[in-house]
Order: sequence, then C-alpha cells, then structure tokens
Amino acid sequence: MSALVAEMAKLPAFVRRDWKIALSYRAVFVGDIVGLAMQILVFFFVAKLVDPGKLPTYGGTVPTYLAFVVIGLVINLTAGVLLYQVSAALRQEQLTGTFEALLATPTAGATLQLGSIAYTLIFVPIRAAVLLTAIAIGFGLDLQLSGILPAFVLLVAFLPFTWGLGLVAAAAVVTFRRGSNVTGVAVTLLGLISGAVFPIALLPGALQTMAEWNPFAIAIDGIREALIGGTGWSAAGSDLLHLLPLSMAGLALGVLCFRWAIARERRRGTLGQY
Amino acid sequence: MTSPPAIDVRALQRRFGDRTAIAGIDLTVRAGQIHALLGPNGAGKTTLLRTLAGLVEPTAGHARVVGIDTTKGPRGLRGQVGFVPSSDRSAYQRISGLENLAFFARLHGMRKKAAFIRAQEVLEQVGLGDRAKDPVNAWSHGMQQRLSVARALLTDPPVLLIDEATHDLDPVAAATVRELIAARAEHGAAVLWATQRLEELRGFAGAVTLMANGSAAFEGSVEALAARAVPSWTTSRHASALEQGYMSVIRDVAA
Repeated sequence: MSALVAEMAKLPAFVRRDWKIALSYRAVFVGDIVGLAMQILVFFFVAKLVDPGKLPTYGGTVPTYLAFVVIGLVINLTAGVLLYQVSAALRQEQLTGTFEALLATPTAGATLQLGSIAYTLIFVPIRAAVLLTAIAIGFGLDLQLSGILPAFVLLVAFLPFTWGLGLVAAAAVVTFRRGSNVTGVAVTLLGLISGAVFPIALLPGALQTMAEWNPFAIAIDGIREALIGGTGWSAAGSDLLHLLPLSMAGLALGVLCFRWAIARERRRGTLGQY
Repeated sequence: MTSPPAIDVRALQRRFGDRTAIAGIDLTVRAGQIHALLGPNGAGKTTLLRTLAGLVEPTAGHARVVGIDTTKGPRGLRGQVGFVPSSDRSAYQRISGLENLAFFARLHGMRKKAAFIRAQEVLEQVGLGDRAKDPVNAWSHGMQQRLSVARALLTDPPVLLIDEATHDLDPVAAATVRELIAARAEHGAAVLWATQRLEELRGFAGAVTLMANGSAAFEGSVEALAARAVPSWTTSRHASALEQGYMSVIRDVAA
C-alpha cells in the first residue's frame, strides 16, 4: 500500500512539469481554441441548411443542428487531444532523450503512463466544459443546466477508452517510432461512426450496428441526452453501464500493448533509439 | 573480509541481430573505486553501461549492481544507480534546469520542497547555480551535459554509470565534474566512467578496462596501460605514453 501511495505522490510532479511546458507554448494553446472556433463558425452557417426535423430528439426536445454538432465536435476534439497527447508525449520524450532518463528512475511503468497524461486528464475535461459554456453563451444554445453533471460524468467515463487507444498508439511509437498513423486511423474511423456531425441513422445498417458499440457514439449521444434533453441520471445511468465496460476494456488493451512494447524494446536493446 | 563488488559482470553478452555489441565480458568495480571504460567508437561501452542501468537486457551472462540482478529487479536497481547517458540532450528543453532536476528528484521519491532544495544544491555543485532558473534550451551543450551529471548525483547513489560526461566540457568544467565524481567515490560510490579523454584518467581512475569489438582487450591500472606503449611511425611523436599504450593494445587486437 505504501508503495502505491509513494507512486501516486509522484503524479503532481508530472502535472507541474507539463503545466510549465504548456505555459511555454501559449501560441499553440490559443491556436487550438481559434481552430475550434472557426470549425464551429463553419457549422453555424451549415446549420442554416439543415432541417432539424431530420435530427434525433433528446428527451422529446428537437435540437438545433448547431447544438447537435457542437456537442459532437467538442467531445471528438477532447478525445482527439487526449489520444494525441498520450503518444505525442512519449514521442517527444524519445526525441528529447528524456525517455531513457525517465526509465532510469525508480518509477513504475504504470506511473510513467499515468504521469505522462495526468496534466491532460485534468485539463481536457475542464477545457471541454469551458468550450461548451463559451459556445452555448456565444451562439445562444439552449442547453440544460441540470444536464451538466451527468454530462461531465459521462465524459470522464469515456476518457479511459481514449487513453487506452492512446496507449496503443504509444506502443506503436515505442515499437515503430511512429504512432500518429494509428491515432489518425482510429480517430477517423471512430469519428465517422460516432454521430458527431450527422445522425447515426444516416449510416448503412452495418455501420449503425458498429456504432452501438462505439464508445465515441455512446458518449456523444449520452451527453446530448443530458445537455439537450435534460434527461438526468436515469438516461445517463444506462449509458454509463454501456460505456464503462468498453472504456475499461480499451484501457486494459492499451496498458497491455504498452507494457509489451516496453518489454520488447528492453529485450532488443533499442529502448532509447528514435 | 572484502565486501561484495558494487558492480559484478560475468560473461556478459549482448547481440543486436547479427551484430555482437558485447562478446562476453567480466568486470568488477568495488565501492569507492573509479573504473575507466575505454575503447574505440562502437566497442560496446555504452551498451555495457545501459545494460548495467537496466535499460538493456543481456543476451547471455549476468550483471549484478549492488547485488541486484539487472534483469530481475530493474526498479530496485534504478534507485541505486546514477546514470549519465552519452547523448547531448536528455533534459526538458522548455523548462528550467531547476525544474528539470526537481522533477527527477520527485521521481526518486523526494517531497517537493526537498526536491527543489536538493536540485539547487547539485546545480551549484556543477557550477550552474546562477543559471538554475533559465530554460534549458538557452544553455550550451556543455551546460546541458553538466545538468545530466547533476541529475545522476541527485540521490547520492552508491553506483555511478557515466558515459562520456566530459565530452563537451571545457577544461575547467571537466575538472569540476571529475572532482565531484572523485569526491563521491571517496564517500564510497562505485564509478564506471566511459571516456575518450585518456589524459583525464591519471590520478583519477584506479583501474581501466579497454574494450574492443565487445571484449576486454586490456584490464589493469592506468600506469599498466601506459607501460604498454610501443612508439611506432603510426603514433604521433606528441602522443602521450597513455595514448601510445591504448593504440598498442588496439593494434594487437586488430593484428
């Protein structure tokens, strides 16, 4: 138990490190927000073309297309940031030569994995909440205040899945020195069947079936139910039951892949190569 | 009764595919000893150091550091070893040297306040105290190399594995680093010191292993290596006895 506590006590050091590094890249931070704002603006005009009657209803409420798409985009972007960060952080460690320095410390592999995204895990949900609030105010979206907490819990339950995917990409980085392809393909495929920008009902039958098991789709739909329909904990509870096992399975797969990749590189003696 | 060696390497081998990096080497370093590791580029020095740091698994043979098998207890091992890699850069470039060291100190289990105090101490020891709060990307290669040495000294480990730490340093900075390492050895640390700077070994290293093609081509004292000197037309007349001894051993291996 004391070993676990000692390992957990190292996490604030990672958060501080990444906060300090993030502060040194203010332009990237601002660029990210401006990029999302531009995307939203595009959909603001696209929304004028879309008949809300073709959209699904949430708790009996017919959403505007903008409200529908904004939630999808923010969740996808949030997942994308986390997914990218997990492998990008590792790639950065490889390139700067700090990866071996980290592995030369008496720190557990799990702590290194968690530590490398601890800052992102804290920052990403806050960022999503701030973005949604700003957009809701800026564009006059009618979102339900009572849905904020269930939506936040659904988002948090969804993040381990993305983290797991990120670890698969990180394992690819360790093994092949590249992981962005894995990330790109995963995000594109899961995004396509997530219902982020168009209703899942428009997809062919086979893809609709796949979407039922897509954590992106489950999270987006559940968060729309909460924020647009104000359906509260009853709807969120069933979504959570559906989402959590998939999230945990994704995370477990990622952890296994990452551990296998590190052990393989240590055996091959190529851990520090990039 | 003598204490067990701090570093104990027996018949260690490491292959990368068809290439043999270490071809069966024996090495013993005791507490308080500075053992120099010499050899041409690609001789296997870095692979040996990385194996001892638990970053590479041996193909055959075994290596024990403070009694810990490097393949069986890598986490326990890492708390006992200060490792200075040979690469120019191994620090976070966008944050200060102080933040870098405090981060690594906390990964060694220090509390935040103690980590910052210790980080400042070791930065001052390597002559970087006045630049502690500057981002590392504003530092020269030599300063970053000293930062790497400082990181290895954070916890006063019983074993120091140092890969060409003085490679980029000016003579004064190099002497400062050697003095620091010698002081640690006087306090009982076992030091394995890989270098290409032969002249820095006089009065510094107590023993030498000269590696060639992954094997130990020479083992003995610095003086014994110098005594192998056989001047020839291929050796500059300005070469020191130590350089001549080194080249003599390498020529014998090649022959």
